[in-house]
This record gives sequence, structure tokens and C-alpha cells, in this order.
Amino acid sequence: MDLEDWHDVASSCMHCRICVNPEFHEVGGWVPICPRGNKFKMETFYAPGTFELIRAIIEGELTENSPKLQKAVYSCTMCGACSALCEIYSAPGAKVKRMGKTFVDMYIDLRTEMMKRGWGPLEPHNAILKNIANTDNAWGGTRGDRERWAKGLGAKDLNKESADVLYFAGCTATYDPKLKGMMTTAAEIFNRAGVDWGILGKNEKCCAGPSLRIGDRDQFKAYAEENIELFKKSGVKTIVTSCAGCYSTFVKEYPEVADMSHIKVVHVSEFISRLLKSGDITFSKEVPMKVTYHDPCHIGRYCGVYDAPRDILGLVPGIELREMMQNRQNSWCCGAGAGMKTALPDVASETGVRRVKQAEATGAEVLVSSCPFCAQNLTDSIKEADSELKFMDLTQIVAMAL
Amino acid sequence: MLSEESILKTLQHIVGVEGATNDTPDLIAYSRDQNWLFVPPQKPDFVVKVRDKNQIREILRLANRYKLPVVPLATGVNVRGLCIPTQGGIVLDMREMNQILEISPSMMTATIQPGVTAGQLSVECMKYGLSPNNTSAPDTVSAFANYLLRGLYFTHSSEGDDHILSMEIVLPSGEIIKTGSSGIKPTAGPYARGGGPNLTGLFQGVPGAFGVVTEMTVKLRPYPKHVWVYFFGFDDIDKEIEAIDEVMKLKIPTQLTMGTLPDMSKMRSLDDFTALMGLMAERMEQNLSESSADQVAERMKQMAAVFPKAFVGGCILDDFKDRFTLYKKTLRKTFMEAGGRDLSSIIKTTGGFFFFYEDDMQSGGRADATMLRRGYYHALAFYGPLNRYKEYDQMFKDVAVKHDLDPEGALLGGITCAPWHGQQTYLERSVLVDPNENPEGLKIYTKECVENLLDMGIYGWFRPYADTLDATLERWGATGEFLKKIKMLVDPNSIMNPGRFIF
Repeated sequence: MDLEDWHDVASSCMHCRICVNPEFHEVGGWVPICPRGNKFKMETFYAPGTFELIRAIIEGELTENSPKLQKAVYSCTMCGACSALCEIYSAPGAKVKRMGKTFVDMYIDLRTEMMKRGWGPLEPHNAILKNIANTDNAWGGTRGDRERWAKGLGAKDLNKESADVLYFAGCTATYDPKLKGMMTTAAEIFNRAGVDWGILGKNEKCCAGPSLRIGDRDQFKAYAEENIELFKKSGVKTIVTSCAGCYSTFVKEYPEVADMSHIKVVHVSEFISRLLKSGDITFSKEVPMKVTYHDPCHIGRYCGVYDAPRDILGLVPGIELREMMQNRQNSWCCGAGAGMKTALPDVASETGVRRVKQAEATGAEVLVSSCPFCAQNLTDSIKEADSELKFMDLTQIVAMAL
Repeated sequence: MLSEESILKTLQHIVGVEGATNDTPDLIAYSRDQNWLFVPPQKPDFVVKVRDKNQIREILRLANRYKLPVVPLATGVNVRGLCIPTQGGIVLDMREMNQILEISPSMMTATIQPGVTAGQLSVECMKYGLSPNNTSAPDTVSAFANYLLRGLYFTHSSEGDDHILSMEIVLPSGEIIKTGSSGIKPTAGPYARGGGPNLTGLFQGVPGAFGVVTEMTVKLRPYPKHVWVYFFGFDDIDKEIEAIDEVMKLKIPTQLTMGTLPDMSKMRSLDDFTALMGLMAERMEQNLSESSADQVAERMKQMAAVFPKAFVGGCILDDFKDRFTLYKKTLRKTFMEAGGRDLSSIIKTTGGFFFFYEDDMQSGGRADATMLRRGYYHALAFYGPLNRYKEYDQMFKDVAVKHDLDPEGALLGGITCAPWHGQQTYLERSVLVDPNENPEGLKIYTKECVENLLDMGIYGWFRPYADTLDATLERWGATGEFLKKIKMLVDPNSIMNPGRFIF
């Protein structure tokens, strides 16, 4: 959609602000849910203010770029909380729900329009776009390093042979050495379950979700088309990914670019949950830990994957799952999303520290999640908060229990 | 006159660089609310985030010196144009003044700042086994602003709608005064009658037109242990009104909502349905927003068969079981004997009713936000006697027809006001329309309805809305002039939210 197609939605915000706090009975307290608004505490930085900016751009009232406009537009983590709350009750939310969209789609179109007008993105975002264009990954890593993590783990090369499952590692886990465990434990689980799996290796390219959320729709479309073609060529019927961002991009965005009906995309948490249900893997070891689970926005609010991770943790012997007050659709974002950690690290850090404090309040020893971006930011935030919590990926817990 | 740049620097000197802005995106974000047809969008010249009364005092002194309009804003739930800076100036954003300064279990009071939301206050009160009075608004509204503008409350009938015991106000001159017993130092506690006239009333019902209220102490009540949510249907509105009058005279502690329902078979869409019936529909067993058009049509047909011509619904809240049981029994008997049908069971019992979350009457939930589904909510809200309900209803319909508006496209509802006296009822004709469909028609309709209501006799307007003030002032005579004199005395440069009350 073009930004102007959102005029009806943007101009129908009643400023009732039910998008700003989760229903207190559900979370057991009065807490904020919008990281951007909570940081800057002005109408401009909450959803209703953004709606007015969109309306003003469309109506020609706002005709000039400014640092404040950029700050307002790019300090949103696109966590989708405002949309989830509004869609239950109010005019704009109900309207977009019936359109099969969320406010995040509108915010993406806003950033696309910003870029078209030369008003965005921010300089650190440009670096991400350049990296993707030059190296096929957001982090600027060399293509040759794409498959290094999988060495000796029994992955088939899907460029040469076929397999039932394509494991799509994603750029962030691949190029951040600290996150290697997310992929290797996933591989270990696949092998234990006897899954016929493979990778695209050097040919794996960025899903381009970051391009889309930064506002470069052209780059996104080009990569989406290339990736869908690659998937088709590989002949796989199922893609499993540990990256929440790749997952939501494949599930929510790719079908708008090309036909994806022949491929089932599954998040690793859903895949493991199925392996457990089918008996392909069983837990045999005790993992005596108190853990709390952080819902990544891209699998949670974006795609409704709330139960699978909890089902898995519930089956691990010895695990005690303690929920944070804000969980599932009411989760507080980790703070990393939509280019935030790269462009506005202070906002990402503050947001992450708040989540760490919520995790600490449960009495858990380990903060578990299932997304490389959340992993990066929450790990950093644990340090920032000088917390004794440990961060672990869900697959690492699973591997410990096998 | 200082330059804009100098004013900004001065404001930033008071509140910090990040706290004061004249950046266009910020000004746009504060320029518009849902009543834009009657109060067109207008950007302020500055937005200033304040954190304490001393900052407010400095800003008011500056504004007074340079005759800059000042519009106080509590949490940002800006409705009906009351906080749109129609003459520019400074919007004082007080959302960071969000402290609950004290909850006193022995006095059953809470002392709060402007940025405290209804939900926040409810959560805190719950810890003490207490509850604030439930506002008929989403829990994101400022409890403070709602009390200040005399919201509607689902409360004990003996308490009425004035819940403020004392306030602290920064006057345009920069002086700080306190009303009630808080003005006397030391005081044994908050009490509304501190001596002499009740000054609190001067600052209520006006959106910051006399000064900036920075602190208030409000009454609390025990957390209700027993709750009954009821819904009765009537075919005869006269009998319904008589029964309500009887219930209210018996002092049964219920604030109830009544009204007539539009013909559901004529409803055009899910939007119409959820807008007009939304308060109830959202809480019913079927989530209509998830349904297909055919399912919705079928559901509407079913509902039309079940729903009565007129309804009365509400709740009884009490913390003493025997009394609760007696009230419940008496209320039910009164309505049934008047021909009412008990339809409480069609309201999802765990879903609560109207503004409440499930069976917890602690605070307004969010259900009333459903009435905003059409994206534009226009209402004429006034106080009047309940026994003239039919006259008002007919007048609204006649004027709607005259100006090519759907007479059934709106709902006249009444909420009885405790303590019951003179049949006093809050009445609201809600027009849930897309104003772009017939904006001129809606404007003329409103103007004519305002004139007609004033001719028919009402107790007054719910709030000083833009579309009611001019016509009312013409009829206010010496009282209006007296209020103008007070306004001139308190705010000689008319800097406080100009245009929103008197001048």
C-alpha cells in the first residue's frame, strides 16, 4: 500500500490511548507497553501522535523533514503492541484487522514514504542497506562465512541435493559469534530427531526483513523474489528458522511478493514442539532451572506463536517456568527491533534493561527467548543492568534436556 | 514581545532543553482530536512537558507577561476539542506528573497528580482494599481530569458525582492556592468544606480556564466484594422510566444506564452494530469482529429478536452481603413488576457490562472504546430530568430528519445521577457517523438541537463543549456576566485555555 491509502485509518484515531497500556487486569499492574512512548513521553512518540504525523504528511500539512520527524519515525521498534491493543476495541485497529494488516504495515509504509522523499532512513540504517546490497547480509560479513557454523553438523547442501527441511539460519545468528549456539543446538536437535535437513550455505541471503522495516521496499522485493526462487529450486517443502525476524518476514511479507503456498515456514520452537509431540525426540535429562520466557514480537504479536515455546519448556524435566507480568500479547519488547539497536542504541538499551528487570522480578535464573535480535539485546541489557540473570536460547535448553 | 526563539529558550530554561519544543511534528501531534469537525485542528506554538508545580508557576508567569495562551493537558486523552489550542500558545503536557502522592486508608482518600490514569489509581487502591469511583471512560484517561470535568461514575448513590475533597491550583498570576481543608495549615486531613464557599467548584467543569490544577485529593470507597450486573428489557418506555424513578428514590446504590435501541434490522453494517451496540456486543458471547458478514447479519437478526425496544442496565456494587442481597432483590422486583424482562443472562456474565472488566468493578475497562469504532464520535451530552426523555428523543429525531440525517443512526441514552434529585439524569445523544458523509448537516443539526434543548429546558451541559457555549452564554444573563468578572479577576489576560469557557 502507499502511505496515502492509510489516510482513513490514520485520521480515525480517537486518541483514547488504549494502545499505550495493557489491560491491567491481565498483567496485574499498570505498566506501559510502548517502548518509544515510554522513553520520550510525548504524544509525538506514541501511536496516536504517529497517526497525526501520517495524516499530516498525506494531507500536505507536513512537508519538510526534520530531526524530530526522523526521531519520531525511527524510534519505533515496530513491536506491534499498539496495534494488538487497538484491534480489540477501537476504530483504527478494527479497521486494519479487517484489512488483514496491522499498524506495523502502516509504519513500514511511512518509512517507505520517508525514504522516497529522501527524509530517511537514518545513517546507521543506510549502512545496513549497503551491507545487504554488497554482502547479502545485514552485518557485512563475507559470503564465505555463511556456512561455517554448520561445518561437521551433518547439514546437506541444498544447492546440490535435496532434503525435507531447509534450515534458514538468518544473518544475525550467522555473523554474531556469540549466537552460534542457537544454530548448532538446532542442528543437534534435528540430528537427534533424524530430520532430513540442509542449508543453502553460501547462497543463503538476507530475508530482507530489515530492508522492509527500514523503508527500502525495492531492496526487500528484490531479495524476496530471489529467495523465493532459491527456495523453489531447492525443492524443499518446509523451512525452519531460528530467527523470529526471518520467520515473520517469510510468513507475513513474502506471500505479498510471490506465491509461497508450496512452502511451509515453521519457527524452530514450533518445529521442536512438533518433534516432541510426535515422539521423535524425548527429554531424558533434568534441567533444574527457574526460567522466564520472553516473547519475541516477530513470532508473538506478529504471528501468534505463544504456546509452542511454553509447551517445550513445560516438558523439560526440572524446569520451572515463571511468567513475567507482561507476557504473550502484552509483552514488553526487547528493544532491538526495526533497526533500533543499530540506529538508536540508547533507546534499545533502556528498553532491554526494563525487560531484564521484569525477568529478575520473577526470581528466574535464566531468561529464555527464541530470536537472535532479542538474544543480542537482552544479553547486552543483562550486562547493562548488572544483572545475575543468564540468557539462553530455547534450543539450548532443549539440547540440555535431550 | 519576545521572539519565538526567545520564548522557547526561556521555556527550555524552565523545564530543560528536551522538555520544551516548537518542532512541527510535535505541534502536529497535539493539534487534533476526534471532534475536529467542530474544533478544527490547530497547532500550539509550543509544547512543554512539566514535572512539577514550580515549573508550571514559572511558565504561567511567562505566559501572563507575554499574553500567551496556556492549555493544560493531563494524559493526552484529548476529546471534544477541550484541549485543542484554538488560539495557539503553550500546551502544558502534564503526563509526567503521574504520582499518587498518598492513599489514606483511614481517611479513604487518594491524593493524586494530573497524569495519574484511572487504571493506575485503581491498581494502587486495590492494594488497600479500596476503589476509586469508576469512570465511564477507558482506563487510560486521567482520573484527575475526569474528576475535574465531573465525569460519570458508577458509584454509590449517596456519593453523587463530586468526589473531590481538595485541590491545589496554580493561578495565572503564579500564586498557588488550595481548596477545602488543604488551604489551612496544618490540617487534620482532607475535607471539602474548609471554610467559606466551596472553591473547588470554581475550578471544576472548566478545562483549565481559571488556572492549572496540580494536585487533588479524592474520595475512595471500599472495594466492592459483591457485584451484580443486570440488564432488563422493556417494551413500554414510560413504565421503564417510572420503575427507574422508583429504584432511585429507594436509594438503591446503582447508577444505571437506560435508553431506547435503534431498529437493528435496519443497521447497515458491522460498524453500525458495534458502534451503537458495541458496549454490549463486545462483551457478548460471540466476538463479532471475527465473524463474516453473513454471520454478522445472522447474529444481528437474532439480536433483533431478543433485544427489547428499551433497556436498562447497570450494576449493584456493595461490600456488605445482606444489604447487597436486599438491593438486588428489590431492584429486580421493581423492574419485573413494571413489565421488565430480565435479560441479564444474554450479557456474558463473566464479561461484565459496559465499562467494567469482567466481574471486577474496580475500574472502567476498555469496552466503551468500542463506541469509537466509526472513528468519529459526536455527542450532545447534557443533564436533564429523566421523565422528559421521550420529548428529547423525539426532538433529536425530528431535527435529524430535517437535516437529512438518519434518525435511527444514533442512540439517546441516559445515566441516572446520584444522589437522585429532580429526576437528574445525564443524557447523551450519540451520533456515530462518518462526518465526511454530511458534515454541514451534522453541524446544522447540532446547532439546532442545542437551541431546542435550551428552549425545552435542561439542567446544563455535561461539559463546556465548543458547540454549546455560544448559545448558552446568550441565555446566561447576569450569571454569565458574573462568571466573566470572576474570570477577569483570576485571569485578566485570558491566557488560560481561551475560548473554552466564558472567553
